[in-house]
Amino acid sequence: MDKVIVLEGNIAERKRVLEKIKNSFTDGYDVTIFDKKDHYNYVSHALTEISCFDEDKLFIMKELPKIEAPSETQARTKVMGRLKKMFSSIPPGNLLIFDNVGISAESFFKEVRKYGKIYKFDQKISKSDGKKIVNSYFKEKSIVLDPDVSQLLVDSLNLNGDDIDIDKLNLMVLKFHHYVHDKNKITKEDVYSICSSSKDFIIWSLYKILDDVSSSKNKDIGSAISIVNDFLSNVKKFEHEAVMLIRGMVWRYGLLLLAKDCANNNLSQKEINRQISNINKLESHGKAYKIKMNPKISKDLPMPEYSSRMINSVMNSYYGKAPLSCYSYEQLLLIYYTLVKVTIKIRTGCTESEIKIAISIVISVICGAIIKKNTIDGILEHNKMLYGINR
Amino acid sequence: MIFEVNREEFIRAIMPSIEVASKNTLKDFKFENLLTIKAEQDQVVILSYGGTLSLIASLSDSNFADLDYKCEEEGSTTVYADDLSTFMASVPNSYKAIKISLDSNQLKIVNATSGAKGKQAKTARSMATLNEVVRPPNISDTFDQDIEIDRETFVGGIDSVIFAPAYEEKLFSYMCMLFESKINSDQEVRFSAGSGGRFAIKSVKGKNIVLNNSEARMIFPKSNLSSISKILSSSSQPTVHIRSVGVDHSKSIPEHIMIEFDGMILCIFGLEHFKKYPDLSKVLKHHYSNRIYSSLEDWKPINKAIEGTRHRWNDSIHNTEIIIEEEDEVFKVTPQTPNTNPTFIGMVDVDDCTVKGEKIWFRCNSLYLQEMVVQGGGKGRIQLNFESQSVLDGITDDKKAQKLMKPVLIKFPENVDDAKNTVDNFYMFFSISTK
Repeated sequence: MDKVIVLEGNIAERKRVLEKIKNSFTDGYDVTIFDKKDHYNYVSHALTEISCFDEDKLFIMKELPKIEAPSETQARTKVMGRLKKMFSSIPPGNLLIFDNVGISAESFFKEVRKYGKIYKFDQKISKSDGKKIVNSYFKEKSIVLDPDVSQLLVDSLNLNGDDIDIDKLNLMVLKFHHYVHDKNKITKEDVYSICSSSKDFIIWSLYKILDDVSSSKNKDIGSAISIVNDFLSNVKKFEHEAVMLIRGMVWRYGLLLLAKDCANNNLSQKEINRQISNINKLESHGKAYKIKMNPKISKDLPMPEYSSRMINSVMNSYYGKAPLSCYSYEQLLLIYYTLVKVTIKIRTGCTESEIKIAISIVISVICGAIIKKNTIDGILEHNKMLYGINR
Repeated sequence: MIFEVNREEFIRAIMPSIEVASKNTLKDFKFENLLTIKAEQDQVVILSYGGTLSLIASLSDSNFADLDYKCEEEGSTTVYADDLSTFMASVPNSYKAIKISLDSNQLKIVNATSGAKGKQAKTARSMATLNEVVRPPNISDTFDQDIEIDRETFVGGIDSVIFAPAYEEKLFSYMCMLFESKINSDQEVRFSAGSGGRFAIKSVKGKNIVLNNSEARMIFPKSNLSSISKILSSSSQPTVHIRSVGVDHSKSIPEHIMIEFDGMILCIFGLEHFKKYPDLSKVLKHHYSNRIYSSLEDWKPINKAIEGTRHRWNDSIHNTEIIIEEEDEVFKVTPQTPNTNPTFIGMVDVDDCTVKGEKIWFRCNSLYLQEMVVQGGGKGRIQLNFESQSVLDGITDDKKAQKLMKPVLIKFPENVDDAKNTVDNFYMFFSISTK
């Protein structure tokens, strides 16, 4: 009979093993949960006591117990050392389970193997495996999911990487299922609504939508505006996040403007990449009027403003059209102009409603729904009193 | 609302209401520290509800003979319990009778006798009132269990085991007291509480403990035990009625235990989490291999020995080993810490002792031994029942080993109450440890 079991990895597998262990107790059993609030003294007493009623006793350790030591690291080492020595004293019927405590020390595992088992489960899986999980879950519920939707769900957990966290995926699938529960048609907008708190995903999804709308004849800017509004309604610091959103756009459309200029001059992709890579990232020093901008240095080298991968990404097509081909040079100039103007407008003081209107204008300009500079100036420079806008 | 009462008797009568409203209440509960006072023609009713305990106290001359209740004007109001308690206590002792009235959102207390002498009664104390009305949960009028028990036995039983329930929230299912009444040739009531590793049981046997000769099994939450004991201790009635009923969703009645005494209805709620309790009889009825008698007074030095080693040894298990040295007829008691000398405690009534095997020993948490001395009354002959841990030597089958080991059971001296014609027994049992 095992006395010690270590469980590490994704929660679904850990829960499965725990259930199996509980079901193996034929008579009654007592469960005690330990965490960092428990002192090692209490834990060690409990672990070495034999049940008063011939019952099995299950101890689930969620965090290591506390113990007196000069530092946290020393406390961890001390408590693990003592627990290791105590395994031999755990009486028959008592089972200690380390439930995702984050143990990786081989010497500890070696001791555990003498008295029990170690289960390690994957925490990360590939996106293609993730997509299979999503599809099989919804197939089981007789819900038809478009491949683009399941891909987007998986991408929402790690847009630019190759793998995803399986626990997050399982939660996401549950959350998405509850959201779309009775809907007949499930669209990408449903994914955006569910993932509106995931900043990276929203912003990169927004860019994809903006590119698509800009290059199409149908100027449907509704989904782009609703994504931004959903995102901003979930943030703690509204103005800060709005400014960060605009700054991100300044950065991206600045790159597109530079790349477009180079492309118009018939430079090759390699040459464009080389030229833009030479632009250094700047950082500020000092305060108020004494601010100086200098190249940002990392490992004794100036950091580029745009990585080579990023530059290539706007010139190549990964999903649909290449972003660079979605905009004309004039359009990009107007977008850049609008972004700078909106940044100044927000920085000089705006209500939340004014910020939302300003961002809607930016989206309209990017999508090509507003194409005249006068319209932009007219709206942005209008006195807010004329609109009667208040917070 | 205007009524007149005897000050001293009124203070005694409102004590349970103040206890319920202000002690061991749920944090930030809406009726915490509030009392609703309803003056009626024949009685004044005080409502209190602290989240897990509610009290409907009907105070009248029939329940409190010296109350001298006179109602001038019916009405009701709500006051802060601590205000009423403090102000009532601060009214001068010379005020034998007091008049309590509601006047412009203030509850006023005046000397009821001063006006009678032709002088204007001066307000002794006044306190703020609230519009909120205390609303205790609905109470059932039919019950699953109904028992009328000797009040002193019930309070004494609670007091005997009140130290024993678990104190860690993670052992929530043990944060309670089990009350059982069994009727055989004799009546037996049993009060049990424990922490999972250590249990205390008080058993009282007799003829007239349960007046309606009913069997019952009820679990009382730990958080209410001290209030129940305090409230019932001050009662003047010889018996109390205890009833219990499960939840009735159709009538919005939660599961509750109801205790009736002195015209008061005390209800205990929040029982949903206390459904199961281990079968303690399994331990009490077990036939132990080793039964050894000793004098509890002789164990007192062990407390000091344990304390003496604990303060220098505070970062690990503090267990104590007890070995029976049969030839010398002693227990060799040794705290399992470095540099500790054993203490030898003599066995008594050696001829009555039963000892099996050669190496007879057990180890347990040192705290359990300390509690044994303190909670057991500190004197008299105790009976230690245990299985020697040496029986585990060589046993490889875990299930078999598990069945062999039993907790250490201590039987304390029996008490006979001739006046009540009852016999009470106190037991403690606790886990043994491998360390």
